Amino acid sequence: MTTTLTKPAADADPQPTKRVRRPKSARAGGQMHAGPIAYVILALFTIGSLLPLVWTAIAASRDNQRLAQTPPPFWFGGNLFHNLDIAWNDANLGKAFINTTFVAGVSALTIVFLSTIAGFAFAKLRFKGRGAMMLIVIGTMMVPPQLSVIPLYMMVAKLDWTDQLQAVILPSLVSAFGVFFMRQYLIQALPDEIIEAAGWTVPAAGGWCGTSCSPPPGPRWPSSAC
Amino acid sequence: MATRHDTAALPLKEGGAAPGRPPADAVPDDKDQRRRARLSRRWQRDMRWSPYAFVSPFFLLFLAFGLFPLIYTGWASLHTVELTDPTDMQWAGLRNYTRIFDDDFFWNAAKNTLTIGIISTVPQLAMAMGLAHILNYKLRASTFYRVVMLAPYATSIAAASLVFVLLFGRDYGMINWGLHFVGIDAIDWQNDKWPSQIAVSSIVIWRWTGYNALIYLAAMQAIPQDLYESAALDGASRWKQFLHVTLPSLRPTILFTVVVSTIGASQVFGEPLLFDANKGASGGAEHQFQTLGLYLYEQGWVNMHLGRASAIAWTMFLILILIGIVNYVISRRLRASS
Repeated sequence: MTTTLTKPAADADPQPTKRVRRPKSARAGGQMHAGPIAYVILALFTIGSLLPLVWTAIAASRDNQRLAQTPPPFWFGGNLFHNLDIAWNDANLGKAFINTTFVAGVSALTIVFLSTIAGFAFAKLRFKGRGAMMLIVIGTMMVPPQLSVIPLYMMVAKLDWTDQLQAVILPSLVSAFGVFFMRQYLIQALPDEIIEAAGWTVPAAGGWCGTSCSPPPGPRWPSSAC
Repeated sequence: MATRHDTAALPLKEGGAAPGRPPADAVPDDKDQRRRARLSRRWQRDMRWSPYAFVSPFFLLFLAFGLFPLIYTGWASLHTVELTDPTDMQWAGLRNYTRIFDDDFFWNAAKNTLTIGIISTVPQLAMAMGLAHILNYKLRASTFYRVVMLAPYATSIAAASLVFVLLFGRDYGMINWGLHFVGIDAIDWQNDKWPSQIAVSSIVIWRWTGYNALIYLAAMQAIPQDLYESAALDGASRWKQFLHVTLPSLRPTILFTVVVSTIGASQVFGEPLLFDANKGASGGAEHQFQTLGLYLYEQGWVNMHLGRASAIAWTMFLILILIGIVNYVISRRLRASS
C-alpha cells in the first residue's frame, strides 16, 4: 500500500487536490485503495474461479470425439447450437426451466422471509427456551441429507404428491442454515438502540421487525436464499 | 405457506397496533384507565408470545419435513430393512450399529472424512479471509469481483467435478502437464492416497472459498469505521488493526463459517463420488477417498442395506453433535479468557 501512497507525492504538483485526499483515505482504515498486488491476487482468483466454468462452455461446443482426444480443446468449436438443440428437445429443458424458476422463486422468497423473522427473534428477543431452540436449529443442519430421502419419499407417496411440484417445494421452505445465518448477522448489524427506539414506543413486534430489520439484512438476503 | 404464516403472525397485529401512542388527554377517567390496563396487558402478551410466533413457522415446517425423517431413520436403524422393500422391517436391536463399528471400511471412511475435512476447510477459510480483506479495499469493478467469487458456488458439483477430473488426469491432465515443466514427475491423482484426497479437497476449496469470502466481506463492512480511525490515532499499524479490530469484530462470523464448514465437510459426498466415476460409491479402488457420506450411500443404495445406512446416518449425526459441543465449549473458553 505504501507504494501507491508515495507515488503521487513525486508528481504531486499537477494534481494538488488528490494529494490531500489520499492520506485521508489511508487513515480511514477499512477503505484504502487497492495496490497492484491486490489486483494480481484478484486476477488469479478470477481466472481460477472462471476457468472450469468456461471450460464447460468449451466442452458444450465440441463433440465427443474431440473431447476424448488428448490435449483437451482450449477454444470453442462449432457444435454449440447443435448440442443446445439436442439438450433442449431431448431433455425437455423448457419445462425444466419453468419448474426450476417456480420452485427456486417460491422457496427463496419464503426462506428469506422466515429466516429473517426467526433469526431476528433468536438474535434480539429474549424468551424462554431460546438457547435450546437455537441448538435444535443448528442440530437440524447436522442431519445428513441422504438420511431423509427414504422417509420423505414415503411421506410424499402417502400424500399422493409424487408427480407434483409441492413435493419439492414444501421440504425446502425453511432452512436452518438461513436462520443461523441471519441470527449471526443481526446480532452485530442491528444495534439494540434501533430496536429499543422502534420497540418500546411502538411495541408491535411485527412493527419492530418490519421497521428495524429491513435495512440491515438487505445485503445478506441474497446469500441466505441460496 | 401464506396461510401458515398468517396464523402465526395474527397475535402480533392485535397487540401491536394498540398501545402505540400514549393517550393525549390530561384527565384520566375510569374508562381510560381500564383501557390503559387492557392495552398494557396486550402489550405484555405481545412481548411474551411474539418471539414464538417469529420462530414457529420454521419449527412447524421442520417438524414435518426434518424431524419426522430423522426419527423415522432412527427407528429404521434398529431394524433390518432392505431397499427392495422399505416397508418390511424386522427388529434387529443394535446389530446394525455393532456391524458398522466392526467394519474396517467404516473407520477408514471416518478417517478419510476427517483428513479431507481438514485439508479442505483450513486453507479455504484462511484464503477466504485474505480475499475478503482485499475485496474490502476500494477497488475498480468491485461488483465484478464479487460476482466472480460466487461463480464456483453457483456451479453444480457434477460440472465442477467433471472439470477437475480432467485437470487432475494422470496422463493428460493439465496439472501434471504443468508439474512436468517444473520438473516434477506425473502424480497419480486418482489412485494414490494423499494426492487423491488433496484433489477431492481442491474441488471443495474451489467451490466454497469465494462464498466464505463474501460472508466475511459482508461482516467486515458492518464494522464501524471509527474503530479503525481511533486505532490509527493510537498508532496501530494496518496489521495490528486487522488483528485487534477486524478479527475480534468478525468473531461471530468466523464461528459461523467454522460450524457450517465442519458440517459441510462431514457430509462431503458428490465430489468423491464423481472424482472416480468408474469406482462410484467405493471412493477409489482402495477406498482411499471414501467419505462417510459415500460409505452411507454404498451401504444403502449399492448394497441395499437401508437399515445399516440409517445406522451410519445416525452415527454421523451423533459425531457432529459431539463436535458441536466441543466447538461450543472451546468458543466459550475463548470468550471467557479474552
